Amino acid sequence: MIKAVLIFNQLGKPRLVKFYEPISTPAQQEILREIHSLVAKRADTLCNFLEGTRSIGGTDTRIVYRHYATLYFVFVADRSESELGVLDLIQLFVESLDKVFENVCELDLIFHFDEVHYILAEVVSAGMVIETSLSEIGRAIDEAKRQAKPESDHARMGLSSLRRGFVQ
Amino acid sequence: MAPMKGLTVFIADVRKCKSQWQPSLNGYNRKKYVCKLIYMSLLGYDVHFGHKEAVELVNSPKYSEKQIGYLAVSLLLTESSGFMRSVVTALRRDLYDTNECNACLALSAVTNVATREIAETLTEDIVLQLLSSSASMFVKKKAALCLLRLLRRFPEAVKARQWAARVVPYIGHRDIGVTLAVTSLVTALVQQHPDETRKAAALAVRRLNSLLADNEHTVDYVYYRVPAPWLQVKLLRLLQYFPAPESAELRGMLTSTLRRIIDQSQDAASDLQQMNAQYAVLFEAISLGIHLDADQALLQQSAALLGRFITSRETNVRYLGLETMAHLAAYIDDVSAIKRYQGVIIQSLRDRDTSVRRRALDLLYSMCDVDSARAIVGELLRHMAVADVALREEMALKVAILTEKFATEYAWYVDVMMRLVSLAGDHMGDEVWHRIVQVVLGNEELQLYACKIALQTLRAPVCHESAFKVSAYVLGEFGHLIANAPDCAPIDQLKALQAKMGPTSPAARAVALTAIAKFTNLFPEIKTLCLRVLDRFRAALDVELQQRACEYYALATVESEDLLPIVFEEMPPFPERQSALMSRLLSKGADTEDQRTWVLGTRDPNRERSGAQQQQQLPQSPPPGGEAGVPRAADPAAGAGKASSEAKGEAAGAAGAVMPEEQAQAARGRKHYARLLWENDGILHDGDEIQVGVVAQYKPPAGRVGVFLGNKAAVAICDVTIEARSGEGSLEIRLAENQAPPTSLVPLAQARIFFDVTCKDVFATAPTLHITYSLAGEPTELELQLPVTAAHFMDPVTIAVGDFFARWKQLGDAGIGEAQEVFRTPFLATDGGAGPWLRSVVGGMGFALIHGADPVPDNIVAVGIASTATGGRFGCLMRVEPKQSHGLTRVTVRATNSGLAAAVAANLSMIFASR
Repeated sequence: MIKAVLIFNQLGKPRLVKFYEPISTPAQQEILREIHSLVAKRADTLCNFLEGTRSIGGTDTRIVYRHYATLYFVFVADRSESELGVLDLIQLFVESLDKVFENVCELDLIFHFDEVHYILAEVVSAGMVIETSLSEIGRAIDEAKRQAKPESDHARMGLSSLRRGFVQ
Repeated sequence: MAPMKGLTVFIADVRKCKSQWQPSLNGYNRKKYVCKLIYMSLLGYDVHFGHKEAVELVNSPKYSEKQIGYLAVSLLLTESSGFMRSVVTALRRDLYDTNECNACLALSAVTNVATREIAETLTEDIVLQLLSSSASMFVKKKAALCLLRLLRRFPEAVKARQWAARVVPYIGHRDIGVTLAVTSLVTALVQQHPDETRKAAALAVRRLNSLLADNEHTVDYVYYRVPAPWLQVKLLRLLQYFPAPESAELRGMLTSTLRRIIDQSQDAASDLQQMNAQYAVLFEAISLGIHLDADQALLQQSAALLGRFITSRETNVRYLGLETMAHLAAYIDDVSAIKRYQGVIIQSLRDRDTSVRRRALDLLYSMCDVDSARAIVGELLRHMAVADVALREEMALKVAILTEKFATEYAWYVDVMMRLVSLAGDHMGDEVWHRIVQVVLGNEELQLYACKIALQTLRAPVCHESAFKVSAYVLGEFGHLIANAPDCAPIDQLKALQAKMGPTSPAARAVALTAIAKFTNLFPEIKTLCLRVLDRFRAALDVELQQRACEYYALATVESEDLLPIVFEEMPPFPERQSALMSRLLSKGADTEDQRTWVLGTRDPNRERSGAQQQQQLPQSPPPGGEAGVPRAADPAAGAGKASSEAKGEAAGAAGAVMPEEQAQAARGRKHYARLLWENDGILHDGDEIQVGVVAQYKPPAGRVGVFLGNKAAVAICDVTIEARSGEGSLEIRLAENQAPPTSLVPLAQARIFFDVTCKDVFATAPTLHITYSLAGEPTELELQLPVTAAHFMDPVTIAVGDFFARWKQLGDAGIGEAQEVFRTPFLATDGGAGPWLRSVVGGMGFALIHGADPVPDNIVAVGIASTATGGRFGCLMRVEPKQSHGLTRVTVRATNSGLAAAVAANLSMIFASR
C-alpha cells in the first residue's frame, strides 16, 4: 500500500503531507525532512526510486518521487505496490492537478491546499489507488465544487432528491 | 500591506482567544479558522486545539463546511480523541444521506479515521453500499477501499468471513474504477480468508483477458496508449497469491495473456510515460510468470528481456530490471541464463545511482552459486573499498554468507573472511567476526591454517580491530598447533599479539587478555612473560579489563596443577544453529504486511515460504508439482564440515547437561504463568521455536482470552493445531466466533486466536492449552496451563473504610472460606519496601484497595467480588500484612465460598514463589 504522499519544494517546505497510517506530527515532519535530504541531492538523470531508511520503514519501503519544476512529489509505498505503477500514479496525480488548476504551480497548492487534498482523495484512498481515469477524477471534483457553491442549493436537489422522490 | 491584514487579524484573534471561549462563530468564520489550523499542521505544528470547531463543521448542513470539517477531522484528530464519538454519529448520518456527495465524504473520512467503534458498527452498512444496486460507481469504489482500511486496522471486528464471498464477484464489474478498488480489497481478503475468496483467481484471469484481448474498457482508462495499467498490475499481483489455475482453459488463458504482455513490450515505446506504464505491467507479468513457475520457455524469454533491460539507458528500467532479475534468480533452478550477464551486473555495481548499485548487489547475491562464488565474492571484495558507506554493511554481510555457503576450500574461506574483516571491519556488526570464530571452532581441518593466517594478520603493518579480535581468539585457542613452525614459537605469538594490542579498544584488549591467559596454560615456557602482561593490566583504568586481568592472574598463580588446564580448556565447538548473519539479513525484511514478498537470494527460504503459504491458503489440495514438499536437498549452506562438528556437538552435549536446562525452562514457565495471574497480558511460554503470549479481558462471569502464537524459528511451522481444554465443567472455554486458527506460520510471523471463557461456578483447575505443530517435519506437542482461575473473574468493590473490619469479622465468624499463608519474601528497603509491589499485585488481581481501613499503615486490605454464571456472586476480602523486619508476609483471604478463597491463596503463593 501507499503509506504516505508528500509534496514539498526544493527547500523542503511542505505543500502537502498525507499519511495513510496514524503517525504523530513531529514524526511526520522528521520523515519529510529525511526524505527531502535524500531526494534533493539526487540528479534528475538518476532513477526515481529510493530504498527507505530505518526511520522510513526500512528496506522494504520504496520512496518513489518525481521532480516537477520547483516541487518534489513523493509517494512512500511498501513492497506490495509496483514501483512503476506508483511512478505513473504521480504523473496522473499531477495531471489531475493540472487539469483542475489549469497550469498548476506551487502557489496553487498553497492557496488551495484543501482542494489538493480532495483531488488526492479521488486518486488515492486508504493507501490504495482508487481511480485512474482523468475524466472521472475531474467529474468527481466538479461535482463536489458544484455542491459547495452556496447558490446551488436548488441544484443540489437535482438527481439525488429526484431519486428520493421516487422512493417516497 | 493589504494581503497581510488577514494574518494580523488572525493573530490578534488567536491572542484574544487564549483565555476565553468564543461561542459566537458563524459558519464562514469557523470554516476559515479551521482551514488555518489545517495549514498550520501542514507546516509541522502540532495543533491540539480547535478540534471542537472541526466537529461542529462536520455537523453543518452545508457541503462546503462539511467538506472542510471532514478534512480537518482526518488530518488533526487521532483515533483516541474524545471527539470521535460525535464524529461517528455524524458519519452514520452522512453515510445514509440521500445526497451521494455526502455519503462519499463520510466514506473517505472513514478511510482516514477508522476506529474500532466504526469498524464494529458501520461495517455492515458499508458492505451494503458496495453491494447495493442503486449506489453509484463513486460510492461503490469508495466503499470498497473503506472496507479495506477497516479490514487492515481491525481484522477481527469487521467479520470479513460473512461478506468476503459476496464482494469477490465485483472483480468482474464493468466499471474499471470499481474493479480496481475491489481488487485491492480482495487482495487483502485473500490473505486472511483464502476459502471464501477462492473464486477470485478465475475472475481475475477472465477480467485480465477481457481487458487485453477483447479491449473491454472505455477510452478514459487508456493511459498513454496502455489500457488501464494499474488494473492490469493489480490483477497480476492478485494472481500471485494463488497457485496456477487448475482448469486447462484458465491456465491457457493466463499463459496467453502473459505472453501477450511480454510480446507487446518487445517493440520499443515511443515516449517515456508509455514506456513506464508498459513496463510496470511487464515486470508484474514476469513476477507472476516466476510465481507460476510453469512455462520454462516463458521464463527464458523473460530472462533474455531482462538482460536487455539491465543495459538500458533509462535508469528506472535498469533498476527494475535488476530487481526483477534478482527475483528470477532467487526462484529458478538454472541460473545459467542469468549468468550470461554477470559482467554487466558487476558493472552495475559501479552505476552512478546508488539505488541501482543496491539492486545489483542483491542480484549478485541471489545468482551466486558454487561455480560463480569465487568470481562474485572477489569482485565484491574489490568493490568494497570504493562502495558507499551505507552499502558496505550489507555488502560485508552478504560476502560473509556467500563465502560460508559456497566455500569448497578451507584456505579460501579463511583468506576471504580475514580480508573482509580487514576491509570492512568498521561497517559491520560483531556478528561477522563471531561467526568466523564459530566456524573455525567447529571445523578441525580449518584450525591450523586459521592460526597461520591469524599470526600473519597480526604481523601485517596495519591490522583492523575485528581482524585483531579474530586472530587473538584463534591463537588463544589453537596457538599450539603452529608452535613448532619456524617463526611461530609461543614467544613470537605473544609478541605479535602485544605489538598490536596498544592502540585497540578495550573490547579488543579484553579478547587479547583471554588469549594471553590461555597462553599461560598452553605454553608453560612463557608463563612468566604472560603473567607480566596480566599483572600490568591489573591496574587498567577500564573496569572490565582490570577485572579480567585480576581474575586471570589469580587463576594462573594458584598453587593447583589441575585448575588451569580445566578452566582454560579448549572451547568446545558451538552447537550448530542458524547463522546469526542469516537471521540478521532475514530480519530486515520481516516487518512487511504483504505475505507474497519473497526473500532475496537463497532459494530455500523462498521455497519454504511459498510452501507454507500454499498450505495456508489451500489446506486440502496437494501442493502443485510436489515442489514445496521436497525435503531440503544437501544444502551447502551448512558449511563445509558440518558433519564433523555435529558429531562433536553431540559428544559435548553430554546427557547430564539436559536436566538443568529442562528445570530452568520449567521455572521460567512458572514465572511467566505467575505473572499472568495478576497482569492481563504477557508471555506464557517462550521456547526456542515458538512463543506464546496471552492477552485477557474479563467481564465477569465472562472473559476473552487471546492467545498469540509467534514463530521464533527460522523456518515455517506447519500443521499447527491449537485447542483449549477446560479442567472441569464449571469453566467453559471455547473458540471465539469467526476464528480461523492458523495452520502454519512463516518465520517471525504471529497469529492470534481468541477464546471465550465463561465461569459457571467456582472452579479449581485451570484450563490447558494444547498446541501441536511440526517444524521441519518433526512434530512437537506443547501443553500449557492457561492463566484462567476462579480468582480472575473478580471485580473490585469499594466499601466504606469503617465497614471493612465489620465484614471481615462477620466472614471470620461464619467460617465459610478462609485461607491463610505466610510467605518468606525479603524486600529490600531500597525498592521502597514491599508496599508498592504488593499493592500492584493485589490491585492487579482485581481487588479494590481500601486505604486507611487497617490501623497498621503497611498492611493492605482489599475487597473484590467474583461473579459466576450459575453459582452466583461471591464476596472476597483480603488482608496482607508484610513484616519488613522479618522478611515475612502473612496473607489472609476470607470469602463467601471456600473454593474461591483457596483459589486466591493459591494464586498468591505462586506469585510470591516466582518473585
